[in-house]
Amino acid sequence: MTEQIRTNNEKICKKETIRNAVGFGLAAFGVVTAGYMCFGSKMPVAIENPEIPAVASFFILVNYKSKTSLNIIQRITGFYLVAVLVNQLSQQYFQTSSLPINFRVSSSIVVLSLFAAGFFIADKKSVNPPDSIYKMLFYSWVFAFGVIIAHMAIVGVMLNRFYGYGYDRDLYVLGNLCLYFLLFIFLWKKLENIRFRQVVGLILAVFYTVVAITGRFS
Amino acid sequence: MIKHQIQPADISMQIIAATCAGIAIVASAFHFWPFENNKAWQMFNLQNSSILVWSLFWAVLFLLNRNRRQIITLMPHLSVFAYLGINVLSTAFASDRARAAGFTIKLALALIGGYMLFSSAIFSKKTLQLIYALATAAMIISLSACLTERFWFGWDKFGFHVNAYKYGTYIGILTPLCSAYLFTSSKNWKITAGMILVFAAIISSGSFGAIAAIFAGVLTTAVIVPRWYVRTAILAAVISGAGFLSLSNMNRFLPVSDDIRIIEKDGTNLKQRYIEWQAEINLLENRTITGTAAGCINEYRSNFYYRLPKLNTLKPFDQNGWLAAGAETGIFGLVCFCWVVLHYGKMAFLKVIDFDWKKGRTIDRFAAANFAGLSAACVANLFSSVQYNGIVIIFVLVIALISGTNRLSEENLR
Repeated sequence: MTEQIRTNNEKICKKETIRNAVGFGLAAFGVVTAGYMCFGSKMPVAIENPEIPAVASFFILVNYKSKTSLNIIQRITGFYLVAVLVNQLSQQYFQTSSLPINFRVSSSIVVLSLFAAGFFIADKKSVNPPDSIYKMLFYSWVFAFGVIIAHMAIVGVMLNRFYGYGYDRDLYVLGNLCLYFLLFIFLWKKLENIRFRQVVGLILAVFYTVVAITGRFS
Repeated sequence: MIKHQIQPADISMQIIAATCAGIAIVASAFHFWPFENNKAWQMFNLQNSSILVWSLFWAVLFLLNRNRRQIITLMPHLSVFAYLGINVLSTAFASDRARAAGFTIKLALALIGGYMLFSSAIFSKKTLQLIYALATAAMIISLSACLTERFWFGWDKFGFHVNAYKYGTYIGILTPLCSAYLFTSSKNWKITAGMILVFAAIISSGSFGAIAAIFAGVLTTAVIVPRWYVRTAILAAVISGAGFLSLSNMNRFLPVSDDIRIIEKDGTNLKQRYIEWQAEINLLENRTITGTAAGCINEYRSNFYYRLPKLNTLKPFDQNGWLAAGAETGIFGLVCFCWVVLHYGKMAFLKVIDFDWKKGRTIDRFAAANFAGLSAACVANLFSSVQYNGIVIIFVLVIALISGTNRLSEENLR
């Protein structure tokens, strides 16, 4: 009986390790893909002072043992820097002209789906509950959404009466906001892992240092 | 259990903290007077200088490894650091690096240095009362200067703040904060003083934001304080102030009616303020995360009007602080700013629901005033920005008071 329980536990542990490794790999691959795609194309938002994100990337690499506040600031910095890459990709599209339907999808969706896959494979099934900072940030996202949507509604009515200005822009902005909200959900828990933070930090450090040295995107 | 040692090491430190905080609060009433256009004075004016001196003092102590634990307990919440961190990171996208850096340094000085200064000064109920008294004194100075200029000399200026929007944000936050503290007193002269302050603040206002913030703050007080005489006093002050304001506007005595209108003077265009709001929302389309960089909203905003008219009627600081935070630091910057508001808002709200007016506790008066002040700041941030140099100190004062009140009430329970 005891032997059976032990074998079962080992199986569960092995499954979880594999799941975590796959989740880790997918998310890290997402960051590599985002960096690679940014490098291969013209970025719409110029990075005027690339040394700042470069230094921030090195900050993520440091392992502050038992400094909870610094770890959270590292996670916030990591999320921001990855989100900047996604921001640079959100206006670039994959287009297929060979198919009967003109199919167009933003490059950022590709990166997001890698993070989503990593999240659903590893983090969604994790036994650890979300931390209090995640909850507070989640409510802050909701608050920020409320602020933007309320303004959109008020201004939308006013502008429509005066100039017939439509809602198309607002819908696009809302879509973008949802993209980053999902990115936050998919990435936040992953950034809790110091090894993942260091891998992401290393990729970002290489990316932003090259940008700073070459001045390619400024 | 580790006991919170919030006090500086000795009495002399407490006196220095209270003095610097007092100078900063009273000096905020004078804004950038007398060198409004001097960039160096805008940075090193009396309020910023007193914060700077105190911050340097703490920095030296921290580096010398003295009172390190005390210094850490006086620091603002993590959300403030997160927001500042995003501001720093956003400077990567600034075409005018000096402007972005200047804005971020001033913001950091106020949000960290100012917060720590006020927190150090709040070490007992007496000093907390002193802070409210000094804030009321600053408000009276600002109000008197404005009323004298407008009613006595007939100038279209707003005291030391000069600009209607800056003055409106300043007075719009301070009025509910100070008057709520006075209204909840058991002394009649204090309640009367509160009524006079609300009345004077309303009639001196020249912007919609100021009126809305004062109304929001004092009406919040009326809702949360279950005393009929407080509610009557607030209603009387608000109705008489609004009545006087509307009557005087019939004679075109005050420009506030222009600001309340949703159309321009030409009658065919929407007020530029609302077009700016849409431009800031449009800005989130391409620069969702990067923003325009801290303090650099004017560098890019004109690219995002699209088909909307640019009427050039927007006056300085007639911004929407919420949307400006989003446009400058991106959506994640706005999220972090919302985190700051939510954190301190939750703290203030929990104190409010813990009210026990039958006991007549002084701490309840502080809690009511703080909640009213924060509500007013949230509304004022719609029609101006609480983050601009010279105004941000009042926002910092409100959050430091919330935190200080919470800390003192916890210590009383121990």
